[in-house]
Amino acid sequence: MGFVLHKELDLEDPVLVCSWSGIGNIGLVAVDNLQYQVSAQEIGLINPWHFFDPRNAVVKNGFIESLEFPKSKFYYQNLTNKDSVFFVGEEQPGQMGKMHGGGEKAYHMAGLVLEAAEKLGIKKIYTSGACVAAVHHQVKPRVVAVASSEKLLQEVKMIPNVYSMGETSEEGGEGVITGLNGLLLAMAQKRGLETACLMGEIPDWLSRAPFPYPRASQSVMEAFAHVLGIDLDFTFFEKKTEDIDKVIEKLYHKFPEKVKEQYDERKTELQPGPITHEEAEWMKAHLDDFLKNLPKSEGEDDNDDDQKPT
Amino acid sequence: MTTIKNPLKVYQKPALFHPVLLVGWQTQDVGNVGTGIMNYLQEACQAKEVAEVDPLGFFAFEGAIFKNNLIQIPESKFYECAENNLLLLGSDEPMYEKYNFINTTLNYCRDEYMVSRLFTFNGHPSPVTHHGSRSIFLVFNQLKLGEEFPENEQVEHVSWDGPPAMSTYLLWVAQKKGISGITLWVEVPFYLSSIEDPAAIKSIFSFLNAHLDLRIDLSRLNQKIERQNRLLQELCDTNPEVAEKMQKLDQEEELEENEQVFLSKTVYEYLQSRKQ
Repeated sequence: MGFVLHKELDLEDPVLVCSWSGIGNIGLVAVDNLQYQVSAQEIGLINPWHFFDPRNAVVKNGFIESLEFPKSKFYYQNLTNKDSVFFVGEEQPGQMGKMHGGGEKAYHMAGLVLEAAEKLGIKKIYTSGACVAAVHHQVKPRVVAVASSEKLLQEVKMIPNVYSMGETSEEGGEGVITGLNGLLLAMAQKRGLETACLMGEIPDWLSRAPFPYPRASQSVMEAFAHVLGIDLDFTFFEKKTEDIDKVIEKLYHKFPEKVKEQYDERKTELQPGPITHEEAEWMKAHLDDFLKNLPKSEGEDDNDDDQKPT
Repeated sequence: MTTIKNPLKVYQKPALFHPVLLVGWQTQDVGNVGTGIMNYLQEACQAKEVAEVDPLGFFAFEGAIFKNNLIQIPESKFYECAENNLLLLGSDEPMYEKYNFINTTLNYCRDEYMVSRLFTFNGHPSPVTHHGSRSIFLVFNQLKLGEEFPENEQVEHVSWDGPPAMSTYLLWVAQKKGISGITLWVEVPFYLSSIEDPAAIKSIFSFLNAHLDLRIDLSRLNQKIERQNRLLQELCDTNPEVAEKMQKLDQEEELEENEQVFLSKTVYEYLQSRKQ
């Protein structure tokens, strides 16, 4: 099992921004679009066959031209004199239909990312993912942060629209970041690296939806733009958000009036709204039924398209 | 999933040098092609079991599968066929750790036996009838093999863009180890997918006999073909609906889905009822 770095790089105080697939693919879409927009060059990868089965084969006139695996790649760009490395993991090992991976393979993959990071001289790592919250889909998603130190936490809280977990949740500053987006942070911290996770809010009832949530990806990208000191173009996101919003609005309009009324109170409250746990569970449970009645072209997961602006 | 460190159990030292490896998959075995070829060869060569891959870590063990009232255990076994210098692998397709499985088996074949060439076999359900010959579609992992096994009336070089079969994955890894590999996808009338198609098996053997100089006696297979064709003719004679569907296929007309299901079910039930 290993990783490959295509070139030797002598970087100055680089940061690593990484993400894997997950709920709403919020982190994945954000980081992959980020590396694309800054024209980052591919500098390495993790050999995929120890972690994943191939998902596509191209055979031409009998000859096997290629086998395609989910990508786990490193990219680099020098941004306003800040060396920035990006890691994009299209899938988490051990995912098997779940939203997040786990187990021995996830541990090994995180270890390889950290080995590569240390080889590049990285001392600070950001990951990104989803924060499932009692929020409204029509409200701009906030970015929720956890960090390895109070100092770094205060640093990220200075970014507009970024809040600590404790400020946004009934549970205070407690919770779990599942899968590799969390595992990597824990392992990195053990190795003495500074780490933070920036998570875009997604309404609880959409956490199992089979499509991405670009609204939250945009919020995350805006936060990373601040961290990296760059400007980004969000035109691509506006189109994607519009498309997904149409699907979500159709689902929203199927809510019974009473549920809709109580859900809409979330629009005005920053703290969790008065919707009960049972009502939130009701929405999640009925999501499959709502999605069944959608025309086929809507709501399909088109993550591959999301990663590259057209 | 538990991954065991050394999944290979070797029962005896290799007695062959530079054999050709033949791999027959036993999972979703269309027309029983993979299993049929392995069984036929094992009997014809009086093959000896020499090693197996421990299934733990590669298959789910959440209960027991049974087929025809017999309990099935996933297995992956190697046999030596000294007479024809063949190494045989009859295996269920692993569900987990596929790369690890392929890597382990190929390393064993290459390092212990100096295997430098392998063939795998798969049945391909097709809209053809049992009346005609069975074409073979080739997939290979080195360009030069396209010239060594050129297209002709019976053989076609296939193109594909989609999820890979286990055989394709095996060939891809084999190529990285310097082992040339060819998969033979043989046509199987779709209504024979769930039972043995001896004509498809014979088509593969004819190809291997020609290219590997195997000289495998095919008389038992010929008897099976004859018997199956006779039974299918009986079915057509007594069931006009079946005869009508077969005629459509012979004329290369498409059958509706319900017609395909009807034909598959009727043929399966009839042949099962007439099993020896």
